[in-house]
Amino acid sequence: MSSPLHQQLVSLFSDVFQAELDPSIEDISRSQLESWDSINHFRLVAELEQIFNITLSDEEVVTLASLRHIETLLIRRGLGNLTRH
Amino acid sequence: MSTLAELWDNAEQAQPEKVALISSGQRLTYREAGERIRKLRAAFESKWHLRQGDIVALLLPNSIEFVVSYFATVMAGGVVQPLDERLSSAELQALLLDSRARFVVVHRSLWLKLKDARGALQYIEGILGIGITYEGAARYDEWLASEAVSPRDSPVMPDDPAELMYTSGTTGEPKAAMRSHRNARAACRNSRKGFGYSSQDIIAIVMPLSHSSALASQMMPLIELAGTLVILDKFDTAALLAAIKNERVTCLRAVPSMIKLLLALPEFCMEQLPSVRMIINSSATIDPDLYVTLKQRFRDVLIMNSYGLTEASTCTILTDAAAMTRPDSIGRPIEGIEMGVIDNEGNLLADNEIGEICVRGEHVFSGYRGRPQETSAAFIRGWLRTGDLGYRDAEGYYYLQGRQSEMINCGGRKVMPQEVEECIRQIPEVADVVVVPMAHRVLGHVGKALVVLRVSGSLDAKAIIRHCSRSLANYKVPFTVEFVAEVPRNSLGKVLRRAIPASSPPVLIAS
Repeated sequence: MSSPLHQQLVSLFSDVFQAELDPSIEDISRSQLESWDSINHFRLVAELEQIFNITLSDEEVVTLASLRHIETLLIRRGLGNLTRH
Repeated sequence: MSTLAELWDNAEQAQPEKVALISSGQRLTYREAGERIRKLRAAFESKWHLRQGDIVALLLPNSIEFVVSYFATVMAGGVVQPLDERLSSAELQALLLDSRARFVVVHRSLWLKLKDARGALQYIEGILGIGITYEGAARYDEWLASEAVSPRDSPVMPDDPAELMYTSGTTGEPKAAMRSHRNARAACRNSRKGFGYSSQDIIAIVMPLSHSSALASQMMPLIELAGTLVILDKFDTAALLAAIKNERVTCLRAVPSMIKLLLALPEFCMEQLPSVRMIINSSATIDPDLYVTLKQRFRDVLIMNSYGLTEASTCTILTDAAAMTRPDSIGRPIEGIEMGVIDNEGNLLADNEIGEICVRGEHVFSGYRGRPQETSAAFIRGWLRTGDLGYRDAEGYYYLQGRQSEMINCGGRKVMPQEVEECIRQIPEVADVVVVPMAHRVLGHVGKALVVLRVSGSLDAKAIIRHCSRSLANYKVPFTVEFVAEVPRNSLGKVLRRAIPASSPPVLIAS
Protein backbone atom coordinates (compact mmCIF):
# COMPACT_ATOMS: atom_id res chain seq x y z
CA MET A 1 0.00 0.00 0.00
CA SER A 2 1.39 3.43 -0.94
CA SER A 3 2.30 6.01 1.67
CA PRO A 4 0.20 9.14 2.35
CA LEU A 5 3.02 11.19 0.82
CA HIS A 6 2.93 9.13 -2.38
CA GLN A 7 -0.85 9.47 -2.58
CA GLN A 8 -0.58 13.20 -2.07
CA LEU A 9 1.97 13.49 -4.86
CA VAL A 10 -0.21 11.51 -7.26
CA SER A 11 -3.07 13.85 -6.47
CA LEU A 12 -0.82 16.87 -6.99
CA PHE A 13 0.39 15.51 -10.32
CA SER A 14 -3.20 15.01 -11.42
CA ASP A 15 -3.98 18.65 -10.64
CA VAL A 16 -0.87 20.23 -12.10
CA PHE A 17 -0.74 18.18 -15.26
CA GLN A 18 -4.51 17.96 -15.60
CA ALA A 19 -4.16 14.21 -16.07
CA GLU A 20 -6.24 11.35 -14.76
CA LEU A 21 -3.73 9.18 -12.93
CA ASP A 22 -4.37 5.82 -11.37
CA PRO A 23 -4.06 6.35 -7.58
CA SER A 24 -2.00 3.16 -7.35
CA ILE A 25 0.56 4.23 -9.94
CA GLU A 26 4.09 3.70 -8.69
CA ASP A 27 5.92 6.20 -10.76
CA ILE A 28 5.55 8.44 -13.78
CA SER A 29 8.23 10.44 -15.50
CA ARG A 30 8.49 13.60 -17.51
CA SER A 31 8.77 11.70 -20.75
CA GLN A 32 5.55 9.82 -20.04
CA LEU A 33 3.41 12.89 -19.44
CA GLU A 34 2.77 14.98 -22.49
CA SER A 35 1.56 17.93 -20.40
CA TRP A 36 4.81 18.04 -18.38
CA ASP A 37 6.31 20.96 -20.26
CA SER A 38 8.39 23.84 -18.90
CA ILE A 39 5.42 25.90 -17.75
CA ASN A 40 3.80 23.03 -15.88
CA HIS A 41 7.18 22.06 -14.52
CA PHE A 42 7.44 25.42 -12.79
CA ARG A 43 3.84 25.12 -11.70
CA LEU A 44 4.76 21.84 -10.03
CA VAL A 45 7.80 23.44 -8.37
CA ALA A 46 5.67 26.29 -7.02
CA GLU A 47 3.17 23.81 -5.61
CA LEU A 48 5.81 21.68 -3.95
CA GLU A 49 7.45 24.71 -2.34
CA GLN A 50 4.13 26.01 -1.08
CA ILE A 51 2.65 22.77 0.17
CA PHE A 52 5.78 21.44 1.85
CA ASN A 53 7.13 24.81 2.88
CA ILE A 54 10.49 24.22 1.25
CA THR A 55 12.72 26.03 -1.19
CA LEU A 56 14.16 23.98 -3.96
CA SER A 57 17.61 24.87 -5.22
CA ASP A 58 18.06 25.74 -8.87
CA GLU A 59 19.77 22.42 -9.36
CA GLU A 60 16.92 20.50 -7.76
CA VAL A 61 14.45 22.42 -9.84
CA VAL A 62 16.01 21.46 -13.13
CA THR A 63 16.56 17.83 -12.22
CA LEU A 64 13.05 16.98 -11.05
CA ALA A 65 12.10 14.34 -13.57
CA SER A 66 9.67 11.85 -12.02
CA LEU A 67 7.21 11.28 -9.23
CA ARG A 68 9.56 8.82 -7.54
CA HIS A 69 12.41 11.29 -7.77
CA ILE A 70 10.35 13.95 -6.01
CA GLU A 71 9.20 11.51 -3.36
CA THR A 72 12.81 10.54 -2.63
CA LEU A 73 13.82 14.17 -2.42
CA LEU A 74 11.07 14.94 0.09
CA ILE A 75 11.89 11.89 2.22
CA ARG A 76 15.53 12.95 2.26
CA ARG A 77 14.39 16.28 3.63
CA GLY A 78 12.55 14.53 6.44
CA LEU A 79 9.09 15.06 4.99
CA GLY A 80 8.30 11.42 4.35
CA ASN A 81 5.81 11.02 7.18
CA LEU A 82 4.07 14.31 6.74
CA THR A 83 0.95 15.05 4.83
CA ARG A 84 0.46 18.70 4.11
CA HIS A 85 -2.60 20.54 3.02
CA MET B 1 -12.88 79.99 -33.03
CA SER B 2 -10.38 77.72 -31.31
CA THR B 3 -10.29 78.70 -27.67
CA LEU B 4 -12.53 77.66 -24.83
CA ALA B 5 -13.20 81.32 -24.02
CA GLU B 6 -14.78 81.70 -27.46
CA LEU B 7 -16.71 78.49 -26.97
CA TRP B 8 -18.47 79.91 -23.91
CA ASP B 9 -18.96 83.39 -25.36
CA ASN B 10 -20.52 82.04 -28.55
CA ALA B 11 -23.01 79.95 -26.60
CA GLU B 12 -23.92 82.82 -24.29
CA GLN B 13 -24.39 85.23 -27.13
CA ALA B 14 -26.47 82.73 -29.11
CA GLN B 15 -28.81 81.72 -26.27
CA PRO B 16 -28.47 84.19 -23.35
CA GLU B 17 -31.82 83.37 -21.77
CA LYS B 18 -31.71 79.63 -22.23
CA VAL B 19 -31.15 77.49 -19.12
CA ALA B 20 -27.55 76.31 -19.26
CA LEU B 21 -26.90 74.68 -15.89
CA ILE B 22 -29.18 72.87 -13.46
CA SER B 23 -27.86 71.45 -10.21
CA SER B 24 -28.90 71.10 -6.55
CA GLY B 25 -32.00 73.22 -6.99
CA GLN B 26 -30.19 76.00 -8.89
CA ARG B 27 -30.93 76.95 -12.50
CA LEU B 28 -28.72 79.39 -14.37
CA THR B 29 -29.21 80.76 -17.85
CA TYR B 30 -26.22 81.24 -20.13
CA ARG B 31 -26.28 84.97 -19.31
CA GLU B 32 -26.41 84.38 -15.54
CA ALA B 33 -23.66 81.78 -15.64
CA GLY B 34 -21.57 84.04 -17.92
CA GLU B 35 -21.84 86.90 -15.41
CA ARG B 36 -20.58 84.63 -12.64
CA ILE B 37 -17.72 83.44 -14.81
CA ARG B 38 -16.62 87.01 -15.59
CA LYS B 39 -16.87 88.06 -11.93
CA LEU B 40 -14.82 85.11 -10.80
CA ARG B 41 -12.27 85.70 -13.54
CA ALA B 42 -11.97 89.32 -12.41
CA ALA B 43 -11.36 88.17 -8.83
CA PHE B 44 -8.76 85.62 -9.97
CA GLU B 45 -6.92 88.41 -11.78
CA SER B 46 -7.25 91.12 -9.14
CA LYS B 47 -6.93 89.12 -5.92
CA TRP B 48 -4.78 86.17 -6.94
CA HIS B 49 -2.98 88.02 -9.74
CA LEU B 50 -3.48 84.91 -11.81
CA ARG B 51 -1.05 84.90 -14.71
CA GLN B 52 -1.16 83.01 -17.98
CA GLY B 53 -0.17 79.42 -17.47
CA ASP B 54 -0.88 79.39 -13.73
CA ILE B 55 -2.47 76.15 -12.59
CA VAL B 56 -5.76 76.29 -10.70
CA ALA B 57 -6.75 72.99 -9.12
CA LEU B 58 -10.47 72.31 -8.79
CA LEU B 59 -11.34 70.05 -5.87
CA LEU B 60 -15.07 70.15 -6.42
CA PRO B 61 -17.89 67.69 -6.81
CA ASN B 62 -19.99 67.89 -9.97
CA SER B 63 -21.62 71.29 -9.56
CA ILE B 64 -22.39 74.63 -11.16
CA GLU B 65 -19.36 75.97 -9.30
CA PHE B 66 -17.18 73.51 -11.19
CA VAL B 67 -18.33 74.85 -14.56
CA VAL B 68 -18.03 78.49 -13.44
CA SER B 69 -14.55 77.98 -11.94
CA TYR B 70 -13.42 76.04 -15.02
CA PHE B 71 -14.33 78.78 -17.49
CA ALA B 72 -13.16 81.62 -15.22
CA THR B 73 -9.75 79.95 -15.09
CA VAL B 74 -9.30 79.23 -18.80
CA MET B 75 -10.63 82.65 -19.83
CA ALA B 76 -8.00 84.29 -17.62
CA GLY B 77 -5.30 82.21 -19.28
CA GLY B 78 -4.99 79.76 -16.41
CA VAL B 79 -4.79 75.99 -16.64
CA VAL B 80 -7.43 73.86 -14.94
CA GLN B 81 -6.32 70.84 -12.94
CA PRO B 82 -9.50 68.92 -12.09
CA LEU B 83 -9.03 66.70 -9.04
CA ASP B 84 -11.10 63.59 -8.48
CA GLU B 85 -13.00 63.98 -5.23
CA ARG B 86 -12.44 60.29 -4.48
CA LEU B 87 -8.68 60.72 -4.14
CA SER B 88 -7.17 60.30 -0.70
CA SER B 89 -5.30 63.17 0.96
CA ALA B 90 -2.01 61.46 0.16
CA GLU B 91 -2.96 61.14 -3.50
CA LEU B 92 -4.13 64.76 -3.62
CA GLN B 93 -0.85 65.82 -2.10
CA ALA B 94 1.12 63.87 -4.70
CA LEU B 95 -0.84 65.39 -7.60
CA LEU B 96 -0.64 68.93 -6.25
CA LEU B 97 3.07 68.60 -5.65
CA ASP B 98 3.56 67.23 -9.15
CA SER B 99 1.57 70.01 -10.82
CA ARG B 100 2.76 72.80 -8.48
CA ALA B 101 -0.70 74.34 -8.70
CA ARG B 102 -0.66 77.94 -7.41
CA PHE B 103 -4.33 78.04 -6.50
CA VAL B 104 -7.09 75.70 -5.39
CA VAL B 105 -10.85 76.05 -5.48
CA VAL B 106 -12.32 73.66 -2.92
CA HIS B 107 -15.81 72.69 -1.83
CA ARG B 108 -16.61 72.38 1.89
CA SER B 109 -17.29 68.64 1.56
CA LEU B 110 -13.66 68.15 0.46
CA TRP B 111 -11.98 70.72 2.68
CA LEU B 112 -10.75 68.23 5.29
CA LYS B 113 -9.12 66.12 2.61
CA LEU B 114 -7.27 69.14 1.29
CA LYS B 115 -6.26 70.20 4.79
CA ASP B 116 -4.66 66.79 5.31
CA ALA B 117 -2.61 67.18 2.13
CA ARG B 118 -0.29 69.35 4.20
CA GLY B 119 2.86 68.71 2.21
CA ALA B 120 1.30 70.36 -0.84
CA LEU B 121 -0.47 73.22 0.90
CA GLN B 122 2.79 75.05 1.61
CA TYR B 123 3.15 75.71 -2.14
CA ILE B 124 -0.45 76.81 -2.65
CA GLU B 125 -0.67 80.62 -2.78
CA GLY B 126 -4.42 80.96 -2.70
CA ILE B 127 -7.43 78.87 -1.68
CA LEU B 128 -10.96 79.75 -2.67
CA GLY B 129 -13.51 77.95 -0.52
CA ILE B 130 -17.10 77.19 -1.40
CA GLY B 131 -19.15 77.12 1.80
CA ILE B 132 -16.05 77.37 3.99
CA THR B 133 -15.44 79.92 6.71
CA TYR B 134 -11.79 79.31 7.29
CA GLU B 135 -9.47 82.24 7.69
CA GLY B 136 -6.93 80.82 5.26
CA ALA B 137 -9.44 80.57 2.43
CA ALA B 138 -11.18 83.28 0.42
CA ARG B 139 -14.93 82.96 0.14
CA TYR B 140 -16.51 82.14 -3.21
CA ASP B 141 -19.76 83.95 -2.39
CA GLU B 142 -17.89 87.14 -1.53
CA TRP B 143 -15.92 87.06 -4.74
CA LEU B 144 -19.10 86.59 -6.76
CA ALA B 145 -20.78 89.46 -4.89
CA SER B 146 -18.05 91.84 -6.02
CA GLU B 147 -18.95 94.50 -8.57
CA ALA B 148 -15.82 93.91 -10.60
CA VAL B 149 -16.44 92.16 -13.89
CA SER B 150 -13.72 91.15 -16.30
CA PRO B 151 -13.94 92.06 -19.97
CA ARG B 152 -15.06 89.48 -22.46
CA ASP B 153 -11.70 89.60 -24.25
CA SER B 154 -9.47 86.76 -23.25
CA PRO B 155 -5.68 86.75 -23.63
CA VAL B 156 -5.56 83.08 -24.58
CA MET B 157 -4.44 81.61 -27.89
CA PRO B 158 -5.45 78.22 -29.33
CA ASP B 159 -2.19 76.51 -28.48
CA ASP B 160 -2.05 77.75 -24.89
CA PRO B 161 -2.53 75.00 -22.30
CA ALA B 162 -6.04 74.78 -20.89
CA GLU B 163 -6.27 71.54 -18.93
CA LEU B 164 -3.99 69.33 -16.91
CA MET B 165 -5.68 65.95 -16.81
CA TYR B 166 -4.06 63.33 -14.65
CA THR B 167 -4.39 59.96 -16.28
CA SER B 168 -6.40 57.52 -14.23
CA GLY B 169 -3.23 55.62 -13.46
CA THR B 170 -4.75 52.18 -13.61
CA THR B 171 -1.47 50.79 -14.85
CA GLY B 172 1.25 53.04 -13.58
CA GLU B 173 2.36 56.32 -12.09
CA PRO B 174 -0.16 59.11 -12.77
CA LYS B 175 0.96 61.57 -15.42
CA ALA B 176 -0.42 64.99 -16.24
CA ALA B 177 -1.73 65.07 -19.78
CA MET B 178 -1.69 68.66 -21.05
CA ARG B 179 -4.49 69.68 -23.36
CA SER B 180 -4.44 72.97 -25.19
CA HIS B 181 -7.48 75.04 -26.09
CA ARG B 182 -7.13 73.70 -29.62
CA ASN B 183 -7.03 70.08 -28.39
CA ALA B 184 -10.09 70.62 -26.19
CA ARG B 185 -12.05 72.30 -28.99
CA ALA B 186 -11.20 69.52 -31.41
CA ALA B 187 -12.23 66.85 -28.87
CA CYS B 188 -15.47 68.74 -28.35
CA ARG B 189 -16.12 68.86 -32.10
CA ASN B 190 -15.46 65.12 -32.39
CA SER B 191 -17.92 64.30 -29.60
CA ARG B 192 -20.58 66.51 -31.17
CA LYS B 193 -20.18 64.75 -34.50
CA GLY B 194 -19.84 61.28 -33.07
CA PHE B 195 -22.81 61.36 -30.73
CA GLY B 196 -24.93 63.69 -32.84
CA TYR B 197 -25.75 66.04 -29.96
CA SER B 198 -28.08 68.93 -30.79
CA SER B 199 -28.84 72.31 -29.24
CA GLN B 200 -32.14 70.84 -28.03
CA ASP B 201 -30.39 68.23 -25.95
CA ILE B 202 -30.56 68.16 -22.16
CA ILE B 203 -27.82 65.94 -20.80
CA ALA B 204 -27.63 64.38 -17.34
CA ILE B 205 -24.02 64.46 -16.14
CA VAL B 206 -23.53 61.89 -13.42
CA MET B 207 -19.99 60.82 -14.23
CA PRO B 208 -17.26 62.92 -12.57
CA LEU B 209 -16.44 66.17 -14.36
CA SER B 210 -12.90 65.74 -13.08
CA HIS B 211 -12.47 63.01 -15.70
CA SER B 212 -11.99 63.48 -19.39
CA SER B 213 -15.08 61.51 -20.37
CA ALA B 214 -17.61 63.81 -18.72
CA LEU B 215 -15.61 66.98 -19.27
CA ALA B 216 -14.63 66.65 -22.92
CA SER B 217 -17.44 64.49 -24.23
CA GLN B 218 -20.45 65.76 -22.29
CA MET B 219 -19.98 69.19 -20.72
CA MET B 220 -18.02 70.83 -23.51
CA PRO B 221 -20.02 69.76 -26.57
CA LEU B 222 -23.33 70.59 -24.88
CA ILE B 223 -22.10 74.06 -23.98
CA GLU B 224 -20.74 74.60 -27.48
CA LEU B 225 -24.24 73.85 -28.77
CA ALA B 226 -25.88 75.95 -26.04
CA GLY B 227 -27.65 72.85 -24.75
CA THR B 228 -28.65 72.25 -21.13
CA LEU B 229 -26.59 70.43 -18.49
CA VAL B 230 -28.28 68.70 -15.57
CA ILE B 231 -25.40 68.15 -13.18
CA LEU B 232 -25.67 65.55 -10.41
CA ASP B 233 -23.11 65.57 -7.62
CA LYS B 234 -23.24 61.84 -7.06
CA PHE B 235 -24.69 58.69 -8.57
CA ASP B 236 -27.97 57.96 -6.85
CA THR B 237 -30.42 55.95 -8.91
CA ALA B 238 -33.56 57.57 -7.47
CA ALA B 239 -32.16 61.09 -7.81
CA LEU B 240 -31.03 60.40 -11.35
CA LEU B 241 -34.41 59.02 -12.40
CA ALA B 242 -36.14 62.02 -10.82
CA ALA B 243 -33.81 64.41 -12.66
CA ILE B 244 -34.39 62.66 -15.98
CA LYS B 245 -38.15 62.83 -15.46
CA ASN B 246 -38.39 66.38 -14.09
CA GLU B 247 -35.91 68.02 -16.43
CA ARG B 248 -36.91 65.99 -19.47
CA VAL B 249 -33.37 64.78 -20.00
CA THR B 250 -32.64 63.57 -23.53
CA CYS B 251 -29.12 62.14 -23.15
CA LEU B 252 -27.53 60.04 -20.45
CA ARG B 253 -23.97 58.80 -20.32
CA ALA B 254 -23.01 56.13 -17.79
CA VAL B 255 -20.60 53.29 -17.13
CA PRO B 256 -21.85 49.68 -17.27
CA SER B 257 -21.99 49.32 -13.47
CA MET B 258 -24.31 52.34 -13.28
CA ILE B 259 -26.49 50.95 -16.08
CA LYS B 260 -26.74 47.63 -14.22
CA LEU B 261 -27.95 49.40 -11.08
CA LEU B 262 -30.46 51.50 -13.02
CA LEU B 263 -31.85 48.40 -14.70
CA ALA B 264 -32.68 47.02 -11.27
CA LEU B 265 -35.40 49.69 -11.12
CA PRO B 266 -38.50 48.88 -13.17
CA GLU B 267 -39.14 52.58 -13.82
CA PHE B 268 -35.86 52.83 -15.76
CA CYS B 269 -37.62 52.26 -19.06
CA MET B 270 -38.70 54.16 -22.14
CA GLU B 271 -42.33 54.38 -21.08
CA GLN B 272 -41.51 56.06 -17.77
CA LEU B 273 -38.76 58.26 -19.23
CA PRO B 274 -40.08 59.27 -22.65
CA SER B 275 -37.75 62.26 -23.06
CA VAL B 276 -34.64 60.06 -23.30
CA ARG B 277 -33.39 59.69 -26.87
CA MET B 278 -29.83 58.47 -26.32
CA ILE B 279 -27.95 56.42 -23.70
CA ILE B 280 -24.18 56.32 -24.01
CA ASN B 281 -22.14 53.55 -22.46
CA SER B 282 -18.74 54.82 -21.45
CA SER B 283 -15.30 53.89 -20.09
CA ALA B 284 -15.72 50.13 -20.18
CA THR B 285 -17.08 47.66 -22.69
CA ILE B 286 -20.73 46.85 -22.17
CA ASP B 287 -21.58 43.21 -21.67
CA PRO B 288 -23.73 41.96 -24.61
CA ASP B 289 -26.41 40.66 -22.20
CA LEU B 290 -26.56 44.04 -20.49
CA TYR B 291 -26.85 45.74 -23.87
CA VAL B 292 -29.76 43.50 -24.87
CA THR B 293 -31.56 44.14 -21.56
CA LEU B 294 -31.05 47.87 -21.98
CA LYS B 295 -32.29 47.74 -25.55
CA GLN B 296 -35.40 45.83 -24.46
CA ARG B 297 -36.22 48.58 -21.98
CA PHE B 298 -35.41 51.40 -24.41
CA ARG B 299 -36.25 49.93 -27.82
CA ASP B 300 -36.58 53.30 -29.60
CA VAL B 301 -33.63 54.90 -27.86
CA LEU B 302 -30.14 55.10 -29.35
CA ILE B 303 -27.66 53.07 -27.33
CA MET B 304 -24.15 54.24 -28.15
CA ASN B 305 -20.78 52.85 -27.17
CA SER B 306 -17.57 54.75 -27.43
CA TYR B 307 -13.84 54.38 -26.98
CA GLY B 308 -11.46 57.06 -25.88
CA LEU B 309 -8.60 57.94 -23.60
CA THR B 310 -7.54 60.95 -21.59
CA GLU B 311 -4.83 61.81 -24.10
CA ALA B 312 -7.24 61.96 -27.06
CA SER B 313 -10.81 62.00 -25.66
CA THR B 314 -13.51 60.11 -27.56
CA CYS B 315 -12.14 58.51 -30.72
CA THR B 316 -14.61 55.86 -31.90
CA ILE B 317 -18.34 55.32 -31.77
CA LEU B 318 -20.22 52.04 -32.00
CA THR B 319 -23.73 52.82 -33.08
CA ASP B 320 -26.80 50.86 -32.17
CA ALA B 321 -27.10 49.21 -35.54
CA ALA B 322 -23.48 48.11 -35.53
CA ALA B 323 -23.68 46.85 -31.93
CA MET B 324 -26.26 44.27 -32.98
CA THR B 325 -23.81 42.62 -35.38
CA ARG B 326 -20.49 43.52 -33.72
CA PRO B 327 -21.09 43.59 -29.96
CA ASP B 328 -17.39 43.10 -29.25
CA SER B 329 -16.21 46.05 -31.35
CA ILE B 330 -15.36 49.52 -30.06
CA GLY B 331 -16.74 50.97 -33.28
CA ARG B 332 -15.35 53.12 -36.06
CA PRO B 333 -13.35 56.35 -35.76
CA ILE B 334 -15.39 59.53 -35.70
CA GLU B 335 -15.17 61.36 -39.02
CA GLY B 336 -12.01 63.44 -39.04
CA ILE B 337 -10.07 61.24 -36.62
CA GLU B 338 -7.17 59.30 -38.08
CA MET B 339 -6.72 55.89 -36.55
CA GLY B 340 -4.61 52.86 -37.32
CA VAL B 341 -2.92 49.76 -35.98
CA ILE B 342 0.86 49.74 -35.85
CA ASP B 343 3.69 47.37 -35.09
CA ASN B 344 6.53 48.14 -32.66
CA GLU B 345 8.38 50.17 -35.30
CA GLY B 346 5.36 52.31 -36.07
CA ASN B 347 4.52 50.64 -39.39
CA LEU B 348 0.82 50.53 -40.17
CA LEU B 349 -0.57 47.01 -40.20
CA ALA B 350 -3.12 45.51 -42.56
CA ASP B 351 -6.72 44.74 -41.60
CA ASN B 352 -7.18 41.96 -39.04
CA GLU B 353 -3.54 42.12 -37.92
CA ILE B 354 -3.11 42.66 -34.18
CA GLY B 355 -0.95 45.57 -33.12
CA GLU B 356 -1.14 48.75 -31.09
CA ILE B 357 -4.01 51.09 -31.83
CA CYS B 358 -2.84 54.62 -32.62
CA VAL B 359 -4.57 57.92 -33.34
CA ARG B 360 -3.70 61.37 -34.58
CA GLY B 361 -5.42 64.67 -35.05
CA GLU B 362 -5.95 68.02 -33.38
CA HIS B 363 -7.71 66.37 -30.45
CA VAL B 364 -4.56 64.55 -29.37
CA PHE B 365 -2.97 66.04 -26.25
CA SER B 366 0.14 68.20 -26.25
CA GLY B 367 2.29 66.00 -23.99
CA TYR B 368 2.86 65.00 -20.38
CA ARG B 369 3.79 68.00 -18.30
CA GLY B 370 7.42 67.95 -17.20
CA ARG B 371 7.96 64.48 -18.61
CA PRO B 372 9.70 64.76 -21.99
CA GLN B 373 10.73 61.12 -22.03
CA GLU B 374 7.22 59.83 -21.40
CA THR B 375 5.88 62.28 -23.97
CA SER B 376 8.38 61.12 -26.55
CA ALA B 377 7.54 57.48 -25.78
CA ALA B 378 3.83 58.18 -26.25
CA PHE B 379 4.30 59.10 -29.91
CA ILE B 380 5.73 57.28 -32.87
CA ARG B 381 5.92 58.74 -36.38
CA GLY B 382 3.35 61.35 -35.43
CA TRP B 383 0.88 58.82 -34.05
CA LEU B 384 -0.25 58.72 -30.44
CA ARG B 385 0.31 55.23 -29.11
CA THR B 386 -2.79 54.37 -27.13
CA GLY B 387 -1.20 51.40 -25.36
CA ASP B 388 -4.23 49.37 -26.39
CA LEU B 389 -3.75 46.28 -28.47
CA GLY B 390 -6.30 45.51 -31.12
CA TYR B 391 -7.12 45.18 -34.79
CA ARG B 392 -9.37 46.65 -37.47
CA ASP B 393 -11.65 44.58 -39.66
CA ALA B 394 -12.20 45.11 -43.37
CA GLU B 395 -15.15 47.42 -42.71
CA GLY B 396 -13.07 49.71 -40.51
CA TYR B 397 -14.38 48.55 -37.12
CA TYR B 398 -11.86 48.31 -34.33
CA TYR B 399 -11.58 45.59 -31.69
CA LEU B 400 -9.61 45.72 -28.46
CA GLN B 401 -7.39 42.87 -27.41
CA GLY B 402 -6.21 44.36 -24.11
CA ARG B 403 -3.68 46.90 -22.96
CA GLN B 404 -0.11 46.39 -24.01
CA SER B 405 1.13 47.66 -20.68
CA GLU B 406 -1.03 45.14 -18.85
CA MET B 407 0.33 42.22 -20.77
CA ILE B 408 1.87 39.44 -18.67
CA ASN B 409 5.11 38.18 -20.08
CA CYS B 410 5.30 34.56 -18.97
CA GLY B 411 8.63 33.17 -20.04
CA GLY B 412 8.49 35.15 -23.28
CA ARG B 413 4.89 34.26 -23.98
CA LYS B 414 2.44 37.15 -23.91
CA VAL B 415 -0.71 36.75 -21.85
CA MET B 416 -3.51 39.28 -22.02
CA PRO B 417 -5.17 39.33 -18.58
CA GLN B 418 -8.53 40.14 -20.17
CA GLU B 419 -8.57 36.83 -22.00
CA VAL B 420 -8.00 34.90 -18.78
CA GLU B 421 -10.53 37.04 -16.92
CA GLU B 422 -13.11 36.38 -19.62
CA CYS B 423 -12.50 32.66 -19.25
CA ILE B 424 -12.91 32.72 -15.46
CA ARG B 425 -15.99 34.91 -15.73
CA GLN B 426 -17.76 32.09 -17.55
CA ILE B 427 -17.91 30.14 -14.28
CA PRO B 428 -21.40 30.81 -12.87
CA GLU B 429 -20.16 31.11 -9.26
CA VAL B 430 -17.76 33.94 -10.17
CA ALA B 431 -19.02 37.50 -9.67
CA ASP B 432 -15.85 39.38 -10.62
CA VAL B 433 -12.22 38.67 -11.39
CA VAL B 434 -8.96 40.38 -12.20
CA VAL B 435 -5.77 38.75 -13.36
CA VAL B 436 -2.49 40.43 -12.52
CA PRO B 437 1.16 39.56 -13.04
CA MET B 438 3.03 37.91 -10.21
CA ALA B 439 6.83 37.83 -10.21
CA HIS B 440 8.34 34.44 -10.93
CA ARG B 441 12.00 33.68 -10.41
CA VAL B 442 12.39 31.96 -13.75
CA LEU B 443 9.51 32.84 -15.99
CA GLY B 444 9.60 36.55 -15.22
CA HIS B 445 5.92 36.79 -14.51
CA VAL B 446 3.00 34.45 -14.16
CA GLY B 447 -0.69 35.19 -13.75
CA LYS B 448 -2.44 35.53 -10.43
CA ALA B 449 -6.25 35.58 -10.40
CA LEU B 450 -8.13 37.51 -7.75
CA VAL B 451 -11.64 36.13 -7.71
CA VAL B 452 -14.84 37.41 -6.12
CA LEU B 453 -17.40 34.64 -5.63
CA ARG B 454 -21.13 35.24 -5.64
CA VAL B 455 -21.35 33.02 -2.56
CA SER B 456 -18.28 32.75 -0.38
CA GLY B 457 -16.81 29.25 -0.28
CA SER B 458 -18.92 27.98 -3.17
CA LEU B 459 -15.87 27.12 -5.24
CA ASP B 460 -12.25 26.26 -4.60
CA ALA B 461 -9.15 27.38 -6.44
CA LYS B 462 -8.69 23.96 -8.02
CA ALA B 463 -11.98 24.25 -9.87
CA ILE B 464 -10.95 27.60 -11.35
CA ILE B 465 -7.57 26.30 -12.47
CA ARG B 466 -9.25 23.25 -13.95
CA HIS B 467 -11.72 25.42 -15.83
CA CYS B 468 -8.92 27.60 -17.24
CA SER B 469 -6.86 24.58 -18.20
CA ARG B 470 -9.72 23.35 -20.29
CA SER B 471 -9.96 26.56 -22.33
CA LEU B 472 -6.57 28.20 -22.30
CA ALA B 473 -2.99 27.40 -23.19
CA ASN B 474 -1.19 26.37 -20.03
CA TYR B 475 0.98 29.50 -19.87
CA LYS B 476 -2.22 31.55 -19.64
CA VAL B 477 -3.60 29.56 -16.72
CA PRO B 478 -3.02 31.49 -13.47
CA PHE B 479 -0.42 30.02 -11.18
CA THR B 480 -2.38 31.07 -8.13
CA VAL B 481 -5.94 31.94 -7.29
CA GLU B 482 -6.85 34.18 -4.42
CA PHE B 483 -10.38 34.82 -3.23
CA VAL B 484 -11.10 38.44 -2.38
CA ALA B 485 -14.12 40.47 -1.25
CA GLU B 486 -13.92 42.88 -4.16
CA VAL B 487 -11.81 43.95 -7.10
CA PRO B 488 -10.51 47.51 -6.68
CA ARG B 489 -11.97 49.80 -9.34
CA ASN B 490 -11.83 53.55 -9.86
CA SER B 491 -14.87 55.79 -10.09
CA LEU B 492 -15.23 54.93 -13.77
CA GLY B 493 -15.28 51.22 -13.13
CA LYS B 494 -11.77 50.59 -14.42
CA VAL B 495 -9.76 47.98 -12.53
CA LEU B 496 -7.04 49.63 -10.46
CA ARG B 497 -4.38 47.07 -11.24
CA ARG B 498 -1.65 49.02 -9.50
CA ALA B 499 -3.73 49.09 -6.29
CA ILE B 500 -3.54 45.33 -6.01
CA PRO B 501 -0.80 44.38 -3.57
CA ALA B 502 1.87 42.26 -5.18
CA SER B 503 2.49 40.40 -1.96
CA SER B 504 -0.98 38.96 -1.46
CA PRO B 505 -0.62 35.50 0.01
CA PRO B 506 -1.44 33.03 -2.73
CA VAL B 507 -3.90 30.20 -2.35
CA LEU B 508 -2.48 27.38 -4.36
CA ILE B 509 -4.36 24.86 -6.33
CA ALA B 510 -3.60 22.00 -3.99
CA SER B 511 -4.79 23.84 -0.90
